[in-house]
Amino acid sequence: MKKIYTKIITCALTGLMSLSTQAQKTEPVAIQPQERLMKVSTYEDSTSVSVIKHRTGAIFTLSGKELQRMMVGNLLNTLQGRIPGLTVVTGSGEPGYDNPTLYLRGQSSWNIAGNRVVIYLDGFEVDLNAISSLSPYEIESITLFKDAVALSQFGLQGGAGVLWFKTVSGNVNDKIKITANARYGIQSVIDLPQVMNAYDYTTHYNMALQNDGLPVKYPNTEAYKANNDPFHPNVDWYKEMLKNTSTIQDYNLSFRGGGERARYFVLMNYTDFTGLYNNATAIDKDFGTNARYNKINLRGNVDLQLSKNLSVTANITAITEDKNTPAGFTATQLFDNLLRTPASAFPVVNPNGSWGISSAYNFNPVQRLQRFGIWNSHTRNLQTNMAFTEKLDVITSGLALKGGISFSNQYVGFYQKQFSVPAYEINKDANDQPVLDGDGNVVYIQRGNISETINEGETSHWNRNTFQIGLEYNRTFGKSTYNAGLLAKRQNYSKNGLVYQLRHQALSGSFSYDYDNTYLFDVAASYNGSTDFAPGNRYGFFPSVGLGWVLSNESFLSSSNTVDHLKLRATWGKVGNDNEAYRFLYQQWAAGGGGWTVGSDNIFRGGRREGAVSNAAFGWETKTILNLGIDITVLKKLKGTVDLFSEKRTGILERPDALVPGYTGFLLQFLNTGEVQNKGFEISLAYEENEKAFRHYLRVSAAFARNKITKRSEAIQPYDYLYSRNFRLDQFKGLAFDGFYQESDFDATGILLPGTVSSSYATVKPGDMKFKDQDGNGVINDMDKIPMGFAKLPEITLGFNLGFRYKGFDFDAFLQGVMNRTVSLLDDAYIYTHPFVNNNNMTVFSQNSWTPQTANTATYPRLSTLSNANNDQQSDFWLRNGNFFKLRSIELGYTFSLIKELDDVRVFVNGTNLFTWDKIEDLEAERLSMGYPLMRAVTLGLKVKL
Amino acid sequence: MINSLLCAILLLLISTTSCTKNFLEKPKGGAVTVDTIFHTKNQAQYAIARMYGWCVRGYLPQGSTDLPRPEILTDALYIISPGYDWANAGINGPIYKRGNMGPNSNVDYGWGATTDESVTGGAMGWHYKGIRQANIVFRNIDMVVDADQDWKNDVKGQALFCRALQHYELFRYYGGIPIVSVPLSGEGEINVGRSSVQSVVDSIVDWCDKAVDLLPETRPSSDYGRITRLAALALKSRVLLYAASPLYNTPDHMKAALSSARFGDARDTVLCYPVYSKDRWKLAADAAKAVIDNAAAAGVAIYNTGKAETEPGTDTYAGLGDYEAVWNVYANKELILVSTKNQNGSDWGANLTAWGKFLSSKVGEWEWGVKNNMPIEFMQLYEKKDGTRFTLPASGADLPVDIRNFNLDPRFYQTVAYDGMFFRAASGAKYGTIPFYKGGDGFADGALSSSDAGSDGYALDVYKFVARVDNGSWNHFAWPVFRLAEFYLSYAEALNEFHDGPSGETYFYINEIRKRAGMPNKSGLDYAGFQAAIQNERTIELAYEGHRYNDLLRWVKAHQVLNTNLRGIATTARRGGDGSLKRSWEIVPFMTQVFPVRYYYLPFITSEVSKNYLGDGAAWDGQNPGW
Repeated sequence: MKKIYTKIITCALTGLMSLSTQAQKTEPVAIQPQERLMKVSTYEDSTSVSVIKHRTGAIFTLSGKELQRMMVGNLLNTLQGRIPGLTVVTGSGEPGYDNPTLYLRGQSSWNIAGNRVVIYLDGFEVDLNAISSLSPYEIESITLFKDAVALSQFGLQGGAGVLWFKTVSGNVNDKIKITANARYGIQSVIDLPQVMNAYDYTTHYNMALQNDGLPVKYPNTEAYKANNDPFHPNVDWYKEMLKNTSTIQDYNLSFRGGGERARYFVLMNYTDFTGLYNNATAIDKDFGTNARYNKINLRGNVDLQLSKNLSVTANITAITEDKNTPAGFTATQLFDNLLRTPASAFPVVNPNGSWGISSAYNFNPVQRLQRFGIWNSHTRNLQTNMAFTEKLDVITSGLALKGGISFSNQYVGFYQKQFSVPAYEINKDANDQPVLDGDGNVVYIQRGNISETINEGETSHWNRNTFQIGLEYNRTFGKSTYNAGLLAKRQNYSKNGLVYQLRHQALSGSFSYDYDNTYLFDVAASYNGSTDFAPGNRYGFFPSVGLGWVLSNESFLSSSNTVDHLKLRATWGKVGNDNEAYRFLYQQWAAGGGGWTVGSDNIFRGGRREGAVSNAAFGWETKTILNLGIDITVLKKLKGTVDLFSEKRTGILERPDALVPGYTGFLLQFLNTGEVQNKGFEISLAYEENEKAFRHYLRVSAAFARNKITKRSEAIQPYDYLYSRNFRLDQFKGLAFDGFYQESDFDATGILLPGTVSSSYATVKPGDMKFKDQDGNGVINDMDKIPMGFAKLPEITLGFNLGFRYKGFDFDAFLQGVMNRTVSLLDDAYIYTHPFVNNNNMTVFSQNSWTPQTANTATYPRLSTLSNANNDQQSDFWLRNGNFFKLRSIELGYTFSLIKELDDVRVFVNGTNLFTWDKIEDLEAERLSMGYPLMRAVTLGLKVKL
Repeated sequence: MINSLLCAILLLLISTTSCTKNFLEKPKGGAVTVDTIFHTKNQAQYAIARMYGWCVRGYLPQGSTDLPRPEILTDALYIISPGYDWANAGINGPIYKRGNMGPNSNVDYGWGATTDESVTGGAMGWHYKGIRQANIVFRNIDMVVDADQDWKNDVKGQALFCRALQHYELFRYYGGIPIVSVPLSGEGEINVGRSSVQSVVDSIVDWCDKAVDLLPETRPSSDYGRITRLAALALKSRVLLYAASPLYNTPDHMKAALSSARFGDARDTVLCYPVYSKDRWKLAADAAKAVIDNAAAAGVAIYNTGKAETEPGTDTYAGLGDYEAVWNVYANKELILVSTKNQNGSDWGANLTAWGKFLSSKVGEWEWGVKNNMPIEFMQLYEKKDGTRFTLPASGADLPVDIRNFNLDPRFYQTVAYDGMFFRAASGAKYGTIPFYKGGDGFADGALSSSDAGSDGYALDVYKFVARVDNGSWNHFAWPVFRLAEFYLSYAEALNEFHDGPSGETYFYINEIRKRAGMPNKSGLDYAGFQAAIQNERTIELAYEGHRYNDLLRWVKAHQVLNTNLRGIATTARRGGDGSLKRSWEIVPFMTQVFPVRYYYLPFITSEVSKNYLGDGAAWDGQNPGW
């Protein structure tokens, strides 16, 4: 005994530890043959192992191989639609700045961080952006934990779901397996918004001015047709700025192998992802750059069997990323300006060779790209885990001591060279003609100055340390199998901007029992505390229980030739969710802010006020989850899993403003009073034919989650539909569009006729939007905004996957769809849909505007150069069905064995995001074609294994 | 139990040092509570500074960067709508002017949206924030251990004044409001409904009287900006003037005009006094006289150096006329209390943007910025320099020449910049002849004619509080919460009302103000004639200092004056005989302004009404009539 402890402590002190017990616990568990069928895995790979042993839980495991099907710069974007219950909301398409947002079973809290899926890598929690830069070739499997039995062990941090990444580890093999992969992809834009040419823009602008009762601005619009008149330009800004294609490529080399004593997996990966900017270095490579992202990944995973009882694992990931972007703009600014700058605004370059500009459009994109410098962002990522397992069979057979330690951190810094040079506006007169000076030369107005700055600094950093240790017990007595684990864990997390570290301390335990592989019983719980809460309220207890019945092992089914496997599952339990945006609310602090200037020297004195009234009972949000599941396999080929869930989130933080009178002057603290209900299901079905020469498969998955706010502090409203209670989170509400006001609605002096609804938002004119007066008071106001459509986050996610393998050929296609999604062009595509206002450009969207002549066919209100608060209300005029289907990946490969020394050589061609089907006219539904565009890619790849 | 088990395992298995019980303890530091603040004088100053920040503001808009001058609600200002709604909308100005104000879009300035914390009750809630802070200071200041009683009394006086000032702010918008004179506690039920106009006025007056006893007469220059005894007298005077005015002290013959802003039953006590009493004018007169009489002891007097007119094109203090100097010369003797909030501090980040943007004028920013268009309805309130009334012709050929030739009240030229005027602020490019005109005859649009709504040619831009002296610095501006001229005019107004006509003393005080401005004396007027004269004088003298809105309300004139078509002057470039640029001009429509009678009292925000504490707890929810 003594000896063992000495050994253990030595190990602990030398830091040779890691890997969570959850990860460790599971691997030794033999997977029953029937269950093995349930795994989703590819033909090439059969090593992906489920990481959890709770066989009653709702979890889904995806093989890392599936992530190699998409050619994108961000690992997280390969998850699109592949895991039922995980919603991946696409971010920008910009290289290096393209993180999506993840949701488990939709959302169940109105606090954003309350829906944040927690990410684990090899048994330890990491930040989302530690994952985004991993290579798909180093991922063994990804598991989503969905229900209470799966999540309650994570306690306070499990409330929004856990996504568990496991990297490839070494295997016992007498030969070193060396694999080289190369992929080269050509990307092209899926969709860009369509804007007007200079002639159409100027004619419509004149029309808008006339509608406003103002004189026209462009007396001679024909001049803009010439295309070569620098005083009346016609510039296609997208063409000037963007290339047709960009490239994305990655290459990696890995070594995998080992013996009984030592096993290893080592990978080196290089990725280079360039953007769309055209001729960025035309002047000098120091003045401009294309968007560019490149990174180098290094991974070393080692498992060592040090003695009969002691084994040690070490995983090290090191990644450096470099992102170059032009210093003259962010991608958002650029694409906003490409969209809003009319073709007629100014020439790229003036006749005298200087840069063009105008006072209204003080943004020459080409100038900024080629001349304004470079922003270089550099990221360093380091994640190290070490873990040990000491078998304690000496004490009792099946007992083991496990421990681990993890450091995970990231640093992002930047280096910037920023320049500016003046541009020159051609001075024009009221007739849109250049003003000439006495010598007949064009008069230019200088805009901007010469400047030059170089600076560097830190963008962000974070650092997370975890230490854990625990006991594990796995043993079978006759028909009874026992698995038990007890884990103590401490974690702290710091990052820039965080004054106090986030700290957690937890003890979690789990116990599984099965009898004859037929009757399954799971209990899991954690006792988890956070520094954010008051002493006495610091720890929460999160229990769960699960029951399972494998019917197919019962005598009445075991001999069935039809049903190979049938399991019923039911779990119930609680998980918690703390939120780093709301901490220490049990204390009342005085707060700074506001102040006063006194004295003849204008001395400013800072102010202090009382902080929010303390919330003595401050706690976390709690989610209670009921999950029912069925797993079935019939005819050895058709497998299905169905999970039904009903969850209730309670204790959602909100300010109870609705109840407290304003005269108190209180600053109210957030209380744990809100509640949201969330219900839904996930279904996955797979048909796999592996026995014949033509191996093929078809898999379908569907996930549905619908939430409802059941309790929320809200001011009393006259109508039920004005509350957010009883509706979805982020439910759209708007006015019901009722056609346009027509001339017949007004009297001769332009006053609305009696009986016609008026607007509280603006004085309406013919051609403005008319809305349904829901409350019948004759005036359109916020009381007339009714629930419409769904929310922006889809309720339904669908996945279709099919493929075959025949002789050397393999084929795979994956189609993703989302449904029950509503988007608002007012919120997300304002510039696109609002010509002339704020000097916006005009797009095809507003082509068919209201005029007295088009009164009956118009699809857009009267054109105006002025903003119109009436037309800018949220309404179904702006809402669109946001459903879409995307062919996320399609791949055809051929594997041949030409040379004896090579195990195999595979060449393939892959398409990523090639086709989209949606219901929105002229825009791509996922991001509404706004910002840096989403890309499709065609990729050639080669894999050599020896 | 489980906690100790957890610890035991860690203790056992790892090492004794790393398992401290305090792993989850929040580290020390950072927490400053109300107790620590009121422990020392130095700390308490922070709370006092916050109290000032919340409470002392005059009519200066605060908070978001999008708020325009308070005059946006009146006939004194037109900001292009919807072209500049981003600058208009902060206080729902455009909605108000179109007659569409509603409970959730009222025009209570409150404190704007961009603040360091949330508030209950919309804009109204911000007033109570200030009141709460004043009450906290008042209650806790005795806890300070290192200050003497005189200092504590002084602070209490300041707190009483602040409490009174924010109650007055609420009163001037809503009528009777809940009176809160202690920091309320969250324990137990609290229920404070609306008080009658009488109670609110009495409370404010009472607090002012108490503050007068506690506050010092004068302060050292290092404390400039702090409340003095004279400021408390000034607040009392203004409140009593309002209380005596027809909106609250309604003579029978004016009741009909207000009928749709009244309930016609007992609830009206939150809107006005039950019975008209002329004696309220006596109280108002006495209170104004008290300000005048105590001014000298506080070092306060009318700023009159005998220089009525500003020198054309000047950019120095010395070149300014006395009227213009009153808001340009820092800490000049006419100022009783200023809101230093916008002065050279760091409270708003770039503090001076308050002047540069909130009250932005086109000339102030030179190119960027929103024009503060003066409607000609307001322009015509200025008399000619000889004291006769002025009516603008329909058009003219040369605006800058015409404007000078109108020979108006010198205060007009010190308040408004116009197309073709030579403007000079020595810094940067804000220098030259103002080009507001639209292009024509081969001339391009004037550089300052461009706007978010296109080129407009609007020719008059109010530039009170726009920097042009002192190298274009904004530092010398501080919003005058009270300046002595107001009380000269209040006194004259109240005397005329109380005595049913002007006396020698009445004339003296109006003419002191007119003399300083370079205008001839008023004389020989009857009651009504003097009433018209003093109301007009007040409008001109205090123009763009925030008074117009409440003056029109309390005189019960808003429904007459503000249901109107606002018009302006627009200029167009024309080639003169010698080929030079001439600014021809004409009258152009701005907008039709609507003022329903129910506007006399602002509606409470629905979320507060729905909490059902404002009214009688039964049939009446406490909302003002008509809403």
